[in-house]
Amino acid sequence: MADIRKILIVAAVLVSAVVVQSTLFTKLVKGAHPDLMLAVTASAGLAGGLWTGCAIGLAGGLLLDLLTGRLVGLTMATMAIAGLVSGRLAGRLYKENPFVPVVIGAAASAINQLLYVVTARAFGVVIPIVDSLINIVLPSVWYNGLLTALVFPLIYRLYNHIVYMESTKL
Amino acid sequence: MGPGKWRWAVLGPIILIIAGIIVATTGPRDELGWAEKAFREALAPLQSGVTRIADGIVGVTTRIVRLTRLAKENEALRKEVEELRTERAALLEAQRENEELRRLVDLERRAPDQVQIAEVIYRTPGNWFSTIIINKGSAHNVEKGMAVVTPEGVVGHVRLVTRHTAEVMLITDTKSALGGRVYRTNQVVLVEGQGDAGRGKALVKPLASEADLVVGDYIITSGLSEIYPKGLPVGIVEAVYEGRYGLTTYGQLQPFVEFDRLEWVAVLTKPHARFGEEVYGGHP
Repeated sequence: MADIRKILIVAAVLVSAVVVQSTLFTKLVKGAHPDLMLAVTASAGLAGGLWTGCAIGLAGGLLLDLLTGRLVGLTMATMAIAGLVSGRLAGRLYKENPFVPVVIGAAASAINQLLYVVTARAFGVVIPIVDSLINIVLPSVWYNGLLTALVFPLIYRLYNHIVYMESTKL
Repeated sequence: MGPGKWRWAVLGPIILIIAGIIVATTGPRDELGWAEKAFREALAPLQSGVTRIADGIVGVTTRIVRLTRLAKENEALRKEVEELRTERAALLEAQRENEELRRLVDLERRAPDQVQIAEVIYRTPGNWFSTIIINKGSAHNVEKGMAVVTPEGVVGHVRLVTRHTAEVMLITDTKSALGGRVYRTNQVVLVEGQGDAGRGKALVKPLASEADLVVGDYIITSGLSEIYPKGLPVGIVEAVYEGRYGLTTYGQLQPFVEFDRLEWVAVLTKPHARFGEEVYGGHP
């Protein structure tokens, strides 16, 4: 029962994130869009550590890839790595500090986007690196850092709720 | 003399004195009496202070009452202004959407049975690909490879189709390349997308070695590809650069379509060969 509820909670969060990101964010923000899924992944890594971040990154990246329909699997991989790095960094930082989610979100964003640009090239999608850095990676680092700070308290509460459910076998 | 009679003996003269004073002060008087003067003079400062305090209290009370009323009125007016603003914004939005749809319907009217109007459901998430998803698919005769336009010009082409949706690759996508023509010189060019990293612009690459490309040149579709009919407006050249060693020239294109504001598009399901001329008059 606890497992099903856990899956339902995670699925609801990820689906909501992908819907908001593909509709509201792409409509409201011109140019580089904030990446809500990345903020969720970085927050999950920060809340639950290495493997939680990785798992959420894989699942969230898959949903994004399914909507994008191109280079399916690449966002999954870059997002999972971003989740892993967030979880890894989180172990060394005091997560109650309000600046920590900003730093983690920004770092995860930079890693995710740079990995994507470089790896996409290997698959024949040439994305100009300098223009990407100026017009996408840098603004996104800023947006996603702030977005992670906003998202983290909610993800942290949900994570604690899931841990409580599992410990009490509810 | 008993006590009762003594009292009457005192009271009698008092009554007479009072009566006398009344009579004396009933008629017109030139001056106040000394007692009146002294009493008035002694009381005046106290009265003045008390009157000032009372005036203050009345003033404050009146002001509070007035302010409360004004605050209520202000609140009501503010609410009304807010409602009117929201209503105005909704009306402007509806007007804009109406105008957009009117122009699309006009496009459909000028090219009957050649287009399918569709709404943009969402843009693909992420910053690397410039694609949109529309709410018409194979169930509405939308097929892969069909051109997508707005009354402003070319949007892109259908890349993938499901039964009720279709993915449109915008002309600004990094994988997009369309055959264009410089309207002024008739020279054939290639228009390549630069993605969001290129801020939604495209690159114009002349195919001839002797390129004549200047800022302000209009680019239209060449009609040489299987996707886009001839003469659809694409964009305007806003900068011209020289390539390495000065052997090549290329331009930066600002598309006519505002992709960030895209809400409705027309898919060219069965365009005639002269669609561009019929609908856009053959020129931008």
